[in-house]
Amino acid sequence: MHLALIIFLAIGSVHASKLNWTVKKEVGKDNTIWKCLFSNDLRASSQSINDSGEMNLLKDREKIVKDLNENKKKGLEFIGVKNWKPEKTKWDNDTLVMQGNYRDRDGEIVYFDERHYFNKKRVIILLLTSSHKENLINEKSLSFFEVAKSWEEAK
Amino acid sequence: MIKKIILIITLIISLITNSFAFELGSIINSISKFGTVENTADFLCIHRNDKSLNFEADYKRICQIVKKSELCQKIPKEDQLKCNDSKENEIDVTSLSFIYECSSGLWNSLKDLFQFIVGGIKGILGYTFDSDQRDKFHKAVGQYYDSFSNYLAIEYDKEQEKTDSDFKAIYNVAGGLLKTLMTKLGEEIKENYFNLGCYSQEARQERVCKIVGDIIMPPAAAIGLIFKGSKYSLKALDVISKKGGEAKKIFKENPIPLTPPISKDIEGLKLKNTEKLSDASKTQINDWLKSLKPNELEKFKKLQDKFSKDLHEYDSRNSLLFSVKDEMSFSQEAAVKDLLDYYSISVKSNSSGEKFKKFNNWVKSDAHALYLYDQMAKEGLEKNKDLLRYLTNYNEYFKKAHGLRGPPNSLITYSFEKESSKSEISLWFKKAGMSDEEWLKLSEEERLKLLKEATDVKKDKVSESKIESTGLKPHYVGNYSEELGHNAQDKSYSWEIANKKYEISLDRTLNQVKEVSKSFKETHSFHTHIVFDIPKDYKEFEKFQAWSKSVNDYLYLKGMEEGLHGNYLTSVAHLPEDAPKRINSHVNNELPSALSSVSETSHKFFSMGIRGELYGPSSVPNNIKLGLELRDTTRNLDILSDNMKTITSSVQDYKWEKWNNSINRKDVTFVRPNFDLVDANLAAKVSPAFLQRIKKGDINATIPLQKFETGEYFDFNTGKKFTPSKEQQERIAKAREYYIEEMHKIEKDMHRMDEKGISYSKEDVDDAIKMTMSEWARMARVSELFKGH
Repeated sequence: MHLALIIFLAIGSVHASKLNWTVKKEVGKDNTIWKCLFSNDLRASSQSINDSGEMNLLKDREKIVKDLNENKKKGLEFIGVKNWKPEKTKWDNDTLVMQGNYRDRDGEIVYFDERHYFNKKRVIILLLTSSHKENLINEKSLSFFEVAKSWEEAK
Repeated sequence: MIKKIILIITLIISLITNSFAFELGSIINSISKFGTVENTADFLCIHRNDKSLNFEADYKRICQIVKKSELCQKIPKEDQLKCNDSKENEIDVTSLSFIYECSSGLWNSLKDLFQFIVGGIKGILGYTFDSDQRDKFHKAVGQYYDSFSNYLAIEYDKEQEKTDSDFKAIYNVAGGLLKTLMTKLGEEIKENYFNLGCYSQEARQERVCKIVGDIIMPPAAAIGLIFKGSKYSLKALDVISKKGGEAKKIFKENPIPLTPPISKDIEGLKLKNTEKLSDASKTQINDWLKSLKPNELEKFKKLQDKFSKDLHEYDSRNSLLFSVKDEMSFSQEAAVKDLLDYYSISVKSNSSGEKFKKFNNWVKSDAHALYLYDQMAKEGLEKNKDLLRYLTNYNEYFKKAHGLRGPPNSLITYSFEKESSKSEISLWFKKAGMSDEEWLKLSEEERLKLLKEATDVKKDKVSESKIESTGLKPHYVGNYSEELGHNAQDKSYSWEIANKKYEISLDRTLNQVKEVSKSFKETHSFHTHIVFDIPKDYKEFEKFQAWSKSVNDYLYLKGMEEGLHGNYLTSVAHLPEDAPKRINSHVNNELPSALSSVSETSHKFFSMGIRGELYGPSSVPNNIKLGLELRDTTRNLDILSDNMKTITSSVQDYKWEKWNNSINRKDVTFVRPNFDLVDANLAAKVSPAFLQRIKKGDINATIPLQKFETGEYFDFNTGKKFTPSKEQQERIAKAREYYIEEMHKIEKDMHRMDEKGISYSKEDVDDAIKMTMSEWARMARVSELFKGH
């Protein structure tokens, strides 16, 4: 009975999240832009990269974060995004979570929650943004990560 | 004139009507600030040196200083600054001459660049079918692409919602990128073309046009500029685009002479020893030099003599750099890149932390580690103590090294020597001037003959002008030495080889010993050195002396168990207070009485010789180098390894300091051979004649007569005295009885043979005694009482 309940809740959760987010546009080879069905303030994009498989995740964790920080600041400067600041960076098993804020091309502050899911052959990068920090922490918003990850994994 | 006016009108119409025109105004304005007089004045530190100067108000004065500076002296007179108006500071982008000479060309270049960026964004966002353009964009952006594509998608998404048009969204995003690019370009020009401010306004605008045109054509190079700096951009001009020449076509047909402030190439810097380099390697060096910023170039100029020397060393088989090259075991280009990487660390690092991390990455083999340590030692370990500490904590090759207590810390270093007369040496060394092919065609006998004939130097390095290395010599082996015998009567031939340089890895040194042993199929005649720094005024030398005696006794007795017998070159070491009369008057048998008395040879003829001057001066202020030389103490290389490791560990811990000063050395048992023991132990067993014979022989034959079982010993591991166990006592006493009995038997054998008229030599008797000594050593196993060192 207890086990059945747990299974039920898990299925219900996935089901509910699919009602919150939908694919807006697939762009390029790797990226998908998502539409949030309950808020115009939330924007999200997902990306799937095939990894060469040479990355030793356990060994290279510190390096991954360091490289990401360096590359991202330079790359974002190029597209007009400034002051990208990850205020929190943590590893949750094999998932890298970076949360912080930046100024977009119009100079507006945008809060972000970026997650990198590493597995043996692929890295899935998900980005959720909002102009309000609190919008990033509610359950409906966070369901994006679950839906988009499943989507990218199925590609 | 009419042609010019038509051209300008055409240009203006084009500006107004083109969809790209909205960006051009701000971009052209940004170009006006490229290469100003103020930039050059900043470079010359004119502002900073004189804080009372205000650039606007004091323009004429500052301009004159710039104009007369050494940097501006090479500028043709007609192109020099006028210094009459501060408007001269920036390029006048609204002047007719600028529009005629420059804008039309720039316009096309910028348009191409813009289209390229648009194409790139379309590529990312999935609308372009021009895979060639898209791939170039990705190649230029490289590893950074993945880090921003999600953000770009979101920026595009916003723009698309605002404009309700995919087309406009992409163009708006691309316009922003172009601005970023031009800002970056301005910074690059300021950094790399700091003498532009030496030129008059008109002369400068021509040059700025050419530089901007060159950099943004092809467009991929311009994108690369942002992500990978000017080095990529300049390289991309030649490599990425096949349209490299187009930039020139859109400007004047005749090339505009641009006087470089400093010629950043091999020729300009007059770098030596580049003659033997391949064209590809020369290009590598030139590209690298061109990538240097002004301050980096200044740093490099201070190092360029060393760089030139290093280029020479790359070709010298006896240099450490040759070993580095060998470890990398690929092309000259790879080796040159590695060297440039090394110099980049010194020249381009902005902080000590960055430098340490880069050195950590650079050291990717034992040879790299050794080269770097050698450089640090040459500069002084005090100066490099933090770097050394960092590397020994984080670098896998430095971690293997054995550090000494500081401050500053230094590393224990190692080497081996091998003596032999084996002819296989002719595979590693050849007569100078012959190619390896010519040399190897000769028979082994012929080769050895030529090696012998090449020199008559006795016990010294043979000049490379007479004997040089072949390509088969292992990279860690240094020069060839020849020994013609230990005295004038000894006409035997032997050679000697050693490490190129004192190694910092014990494991590597021991592996080298094993490799050399295999090559010559010999396990004997290896001498190994453990070298370390010690303060000149070290106060605990007496303790070190006691420890040295203990180690020497252990090695001597352990060697005897193996069947080895010391001779006058590897004798028992004696404490100064109880050294017996010397057997060989020119060989010292005492351990050094003070640190200051340690010299190159005077205390070396023991199992573990103690040497000083041989190793050169210490890299640590007020320290000297002290070396422990294990001299052919074993024929078992595993035992040699164990001995080296144990002694290394003791040196690291200064284990001798565990000696307790309240202990009188006379009360501690050491190996103390003494002829008085002969009478006391053998008088009842052998004839007076045999007693005399023993007394005239090797004093070390008295060692088995010493009552080791009743002694007190000192353990340097525990810092305590101890006595042998009952089992040890019984074993040692029994072994001594056996030895005495065997002496008696030897004398009886001599009598029997005399009676039968069988002749025997003095050496036969000596050998019989030696064999008995070995039997005693194996039975008594006294060495274990000295193991605690």
